[in-house]
Amino acid sequence: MQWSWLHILWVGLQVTLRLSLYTIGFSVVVAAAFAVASISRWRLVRWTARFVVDLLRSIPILALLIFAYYGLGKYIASWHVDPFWMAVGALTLGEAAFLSEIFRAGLEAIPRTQWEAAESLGFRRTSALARIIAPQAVLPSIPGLVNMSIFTFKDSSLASVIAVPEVTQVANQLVSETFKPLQVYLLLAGFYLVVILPFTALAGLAEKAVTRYYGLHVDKASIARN
Amino acid sequence: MGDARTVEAGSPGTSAARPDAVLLEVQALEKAFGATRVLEGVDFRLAEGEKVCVVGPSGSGKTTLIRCFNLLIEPSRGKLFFRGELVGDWPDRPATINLRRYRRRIGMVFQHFELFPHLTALDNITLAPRRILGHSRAEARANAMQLLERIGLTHVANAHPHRLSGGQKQRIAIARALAMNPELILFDEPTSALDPEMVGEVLRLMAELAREGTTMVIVTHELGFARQVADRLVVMEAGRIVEQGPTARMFEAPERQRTRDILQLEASWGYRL
Repeated sequence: MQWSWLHILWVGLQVTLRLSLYTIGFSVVVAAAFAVASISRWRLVRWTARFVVDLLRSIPILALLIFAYYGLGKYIASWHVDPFWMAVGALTLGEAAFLSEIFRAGLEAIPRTQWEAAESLGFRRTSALARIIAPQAVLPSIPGLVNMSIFTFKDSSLASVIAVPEVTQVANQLVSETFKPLQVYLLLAGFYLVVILPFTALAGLAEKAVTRYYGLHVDKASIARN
Repeated sequence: MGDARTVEAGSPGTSAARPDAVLLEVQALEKAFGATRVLEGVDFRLAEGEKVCVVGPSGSGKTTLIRCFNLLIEPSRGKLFFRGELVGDWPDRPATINLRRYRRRIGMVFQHFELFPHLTALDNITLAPRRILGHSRAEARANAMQLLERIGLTHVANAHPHRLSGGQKQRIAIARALAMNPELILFDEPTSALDPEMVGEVLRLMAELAREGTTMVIVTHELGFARQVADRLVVMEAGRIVEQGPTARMFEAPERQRTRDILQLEASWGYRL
């Protein structure tokens, strides 16, 4: 092992982080849209959203990536799309499908009576969702969001197959140059670990803090008792 | 504050109470959930300023009835009028009016309070006036603080609902309804979810509103309260009105034996003011 490996992998890790952060950011937006659509009052919107989500959930992300790169590549070559952004696109679709189910569960967990309280005050459905229902769904969705973020971070390694120079791809290259797969891949594993471990710990703390602040669980307990 | 925007509440208010002006009326109201018939032809009139208590065993359709009043539940059949205007005639002419504009004129207080847990007590009260009536933040806040003072809860203005006792929550929920300046307030078993020692504070507030002439329809099991506060009593069973009439007469000389039985049954539990 040489110190230069660390530097090389660090450069790759930066790409991995960028890839993951873009993916998570876009996934949250796309997933929120799917979740809202999947509880729509209009059947067509609801069914379409659920169909698309189910479709995406049943396609491996690797397949999405290959499809984007090799399948569409030929047709969109003139657009000069960076493989990085293709990976962001494919990963976003793959992760957002799962994330939207987490958000939907969060929205559906809010009692119907909260909608009624909002409606009895004269709120339209969209503003009730935005101001009353969705804010309450954020907290229960956090653990799922954290999980999905970790999956996204790990899944971003799939982008190596379409030549995105993220950390796994960089490691592969290093192996082909040094012929020391064991050492390189152990180091690679360490890189992933170092990012993920503090993240989970931090997320756990944040969740506890928010729970204490809103006391949602306290509320639920008092309702259950009655 | 520099905010000069003041938008009037769209409602005419309750000040000009004409004793026999009909505020709300339903005719031959029916509601079925699938094959389950919950309301089977209810006729009911509510005069402005009137206080009506609806009593009856669980599953008699009381809650469904008042939820039909503000159309949280859509009737299957029957007519609904508000201030003499047809709101809907089911099933042929379901509500064609603007539902949101209609609902904001009618306050509702729920059994489980239904405060918004992510907002402070104050924000619970100001949210709808700001977002629905377009009041400025300062104006909504000032009104809310007045309401809080009236119910003696200014000290919890910035607390989230989970920090409040059940009685406090329900009083805040009542204040939230009042903040919209409603022409009528519906109460759906407002004390049923409360610990016994907190029932009194909520009933006292409701009695005070009644004294001030607020039009109220109250679904309750609290016969002591009904006897003192209600102008009229409606006794329901199995989706029908068994009997209705002036409170005193209903208690002392009901026309039907069934009314007597139901009231006796209900009286076996309850709170006295």
